Amino acid sequence: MIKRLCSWLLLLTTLPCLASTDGHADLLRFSGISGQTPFVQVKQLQGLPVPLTSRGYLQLEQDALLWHTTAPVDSKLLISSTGVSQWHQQQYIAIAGSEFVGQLMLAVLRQQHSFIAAHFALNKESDNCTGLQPLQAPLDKLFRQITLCGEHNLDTLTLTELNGNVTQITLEHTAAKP
Amino acid sequence: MKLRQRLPLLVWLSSVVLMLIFVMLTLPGTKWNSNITAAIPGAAEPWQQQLLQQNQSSRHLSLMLSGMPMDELRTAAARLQQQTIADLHWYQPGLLFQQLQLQYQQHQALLASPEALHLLQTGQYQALVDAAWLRLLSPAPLLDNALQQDPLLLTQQFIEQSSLTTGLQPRQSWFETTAGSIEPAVILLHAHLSIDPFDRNASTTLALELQQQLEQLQQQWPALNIARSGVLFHAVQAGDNASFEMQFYGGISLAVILLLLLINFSSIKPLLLAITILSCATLSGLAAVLLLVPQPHVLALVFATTLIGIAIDYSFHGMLAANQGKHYFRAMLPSMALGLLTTLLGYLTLTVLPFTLLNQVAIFMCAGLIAAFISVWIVFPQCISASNLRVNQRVLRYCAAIMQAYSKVSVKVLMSGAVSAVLLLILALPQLRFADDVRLFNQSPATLLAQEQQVRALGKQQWDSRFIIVLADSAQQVLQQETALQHLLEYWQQQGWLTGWQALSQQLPPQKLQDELQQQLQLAYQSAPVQSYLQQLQLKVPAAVSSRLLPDNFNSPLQQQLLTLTDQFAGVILLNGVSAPAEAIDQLSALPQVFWLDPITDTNKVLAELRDQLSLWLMLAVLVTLVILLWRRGLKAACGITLMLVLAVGGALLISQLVQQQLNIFNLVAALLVVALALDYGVFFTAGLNKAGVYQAVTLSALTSCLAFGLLSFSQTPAVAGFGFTVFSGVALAALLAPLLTVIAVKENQTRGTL
Repeated sequence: MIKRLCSWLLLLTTLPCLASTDGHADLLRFSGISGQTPFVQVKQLQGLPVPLTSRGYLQLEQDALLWHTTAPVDSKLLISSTGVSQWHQQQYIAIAGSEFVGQLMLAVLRQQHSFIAAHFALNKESDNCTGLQPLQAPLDKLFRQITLCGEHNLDTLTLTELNGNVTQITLEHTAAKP
Repeated sequence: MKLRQRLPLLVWLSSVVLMLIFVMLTLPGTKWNSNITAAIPGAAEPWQQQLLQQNQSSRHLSLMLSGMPMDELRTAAARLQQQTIADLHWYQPGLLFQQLQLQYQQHQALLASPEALHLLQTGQYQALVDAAWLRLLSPAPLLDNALQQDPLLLTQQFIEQSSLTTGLQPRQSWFETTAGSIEPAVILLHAHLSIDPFDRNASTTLALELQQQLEQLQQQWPALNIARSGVLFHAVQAGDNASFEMQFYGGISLAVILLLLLINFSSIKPLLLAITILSCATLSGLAAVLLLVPQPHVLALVFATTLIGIAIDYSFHGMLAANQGKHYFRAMLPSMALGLLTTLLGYLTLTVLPFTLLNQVAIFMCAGLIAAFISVWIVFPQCISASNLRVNQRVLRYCAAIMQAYSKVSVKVLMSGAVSAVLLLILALPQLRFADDVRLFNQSPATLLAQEQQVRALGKQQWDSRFIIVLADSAQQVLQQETALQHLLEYWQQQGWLTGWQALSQQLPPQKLQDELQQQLQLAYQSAPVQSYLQQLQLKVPAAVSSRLLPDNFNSPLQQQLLTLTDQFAGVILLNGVSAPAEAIDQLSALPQVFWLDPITDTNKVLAELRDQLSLWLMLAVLVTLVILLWRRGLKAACGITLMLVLAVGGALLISQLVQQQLNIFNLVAALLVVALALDYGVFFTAGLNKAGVYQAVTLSALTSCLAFGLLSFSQTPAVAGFGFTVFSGVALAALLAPLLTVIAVKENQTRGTL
């Protein structure tokens, strides 16, 4: 009897944890990108009448992500946990103050749950979308919300900045190369 | 008649009471200084002094937390910052970064990187357009209204190309290592103090409170490592050291001296009399320092512990003389007065030197010694009558044995020994080597220095002690001159003479440059590449910006590098990894209103000059002594005493060099003191006083002086230790040589006195 009571109490105490983990797992069900994945980025900037569309591919490497824009201009960005670096005159030049943006992009595209859970409040937006609301500075001073959409794979990523700028990145998994 | 006899004693007593009241009232409010650099001579130019006084770098402190996962470190850091400590204000790097960004956001198109400005000036507009496109297509956020105010995103890129990053990530209240980095998790907290860290009382209180909080954190998280950086920790450590040494060495000196008295007299009365004399001397010294010095240095008190060793000599001479009767006491007084005079002259020479620490020591010692002499003069005849004290017979026998041993030395042996010693000295003295380096005077514990290094390396705050100063009539001119210097500094960097630099103009360009950027931008907007870019984005040409970012509406920690002096402004350029050759520095210094400031080298130069002066003083002191002795004691005694002084001083310096490897100015100051102290022994041994009494008094006196100064040689402060060791060696040598003077001494008539 005592054994049964103990088991029941144990079940009661562990259930909320399981439920919470399950909740995060459901909201962050996307698998991270791998290999070379084409993307389309549409930026709607405040005061700019036309959206800016660019194309390219993302190449996930060991500790970094290569963001290679091929159209309308050819440019390369290297995104790592230490920040974003721009390819300029045969070398990557670090962009000061981009550390959090680098970590954010890397965590979202790789689906690093621990980083996301530590920095964002998660909420279900619609059937396929999860909203991430920044919890602390400096992310909360930059972004109002980040929305991740997709069924199993992360299909679109929408960054809504506090100043009204919106950047939507669509990942084309069908054209991905290993 | 009785009252007339007692009058001096009453006056003495009233003076002591008055001094006691003064010290008790003044002491609690006294601000004790623990800054060694403030105690030694420094920069001579008034503007340099103003600049160093306004320098706020000593008011910063940093703490590095490590040894645990980042989450736990954050909790610990947050816990620490929740506790309020008066006069300690934690920096909020995240907030400062946001403030800076906001200021730039409000002044877009007024700031551009030097490269972008060059492209504008040379009309390379397409390159600017390409760069703008690259930035536009990056997923990283843009400043508010960036495209409307600054379509080429020059200010955006200026911020992103800023080189003022520390390598750590700014969080709201601290810096931390980047998440996912292979380096161990570390948090770096910076704080500003609103007190002077060299104010002994205030800094001790603050450091104690902080230490308690850090101990609480370490109790809660035993794995937590805390490394400290900041002048506060070094100043408190130096102050604590000085305070401990003052009490410890003073206490030991006093205890051993009292023990010697007890052994010598086997009675409590001499003990009480000696304590009275020492208390009175210490009280006078302290009162004089408190009266004359607004912020006394704690290190001065460490030097001042030697007062015990000298002042007690007067007690010994006084007691032994008074014990032989009033007549003998009166006959002894002139010798003691001569001893006092020579010691005072030795210390008074220190008051004319531009050396705050030594000035304070001299004030303390002069007041203390005068008080000791007057006290012995007034109190002893009243308290000790003839044969009132029983001198330990065993001590007397020892002294007699020493006396007998010395009396066996023949004049021939003495002369040949003296000639050999002088020859040896002539050969050895040129080997003396002096190091005029102020950094060798004081040394913090190795653990604290290692922590300092660790924290500075992590925060990339390893600024050199040398810096460049730009002087101008206005803040704008300072910024302009700093900007003009950038090319030269870049050249230094290319040559590998400089790792980096930090100047306010890097964050706040001069108004002239902002005006030029606006003009150049208006031209660029009319060019074909930019017109096409604007059309593609369907943007209008922005209107010219009339506002400017000025020191008055700009807020950044770097503004501490712009200082307002009496009639001009000074910009401080901090340097990192400097190895510029002398010619490059000369070239820089030749520029108008640009100064290369190297406080350490400047102080070292002043020290070297001072050392030369002191060497002259030392020779002059010996010469003056010779002249006075020739007048009062005759040729033989004068030459004998002078030779003894030269041998004691020279020998002390040579022994000190053997022990320390290099001598410094403090050894020379000590040599001056050796002359003053050793002269006493010479005076007493050549006086027509009872030989046994002189042997006893001088032996006791030398023992106490050796003890007081010898203890100082164990000080943690190298300057104090060097000083103590040289005086110890000199006094010991003088005490060994002085009895030989009896072999050649001219005996004087006892009734005539000794002076």
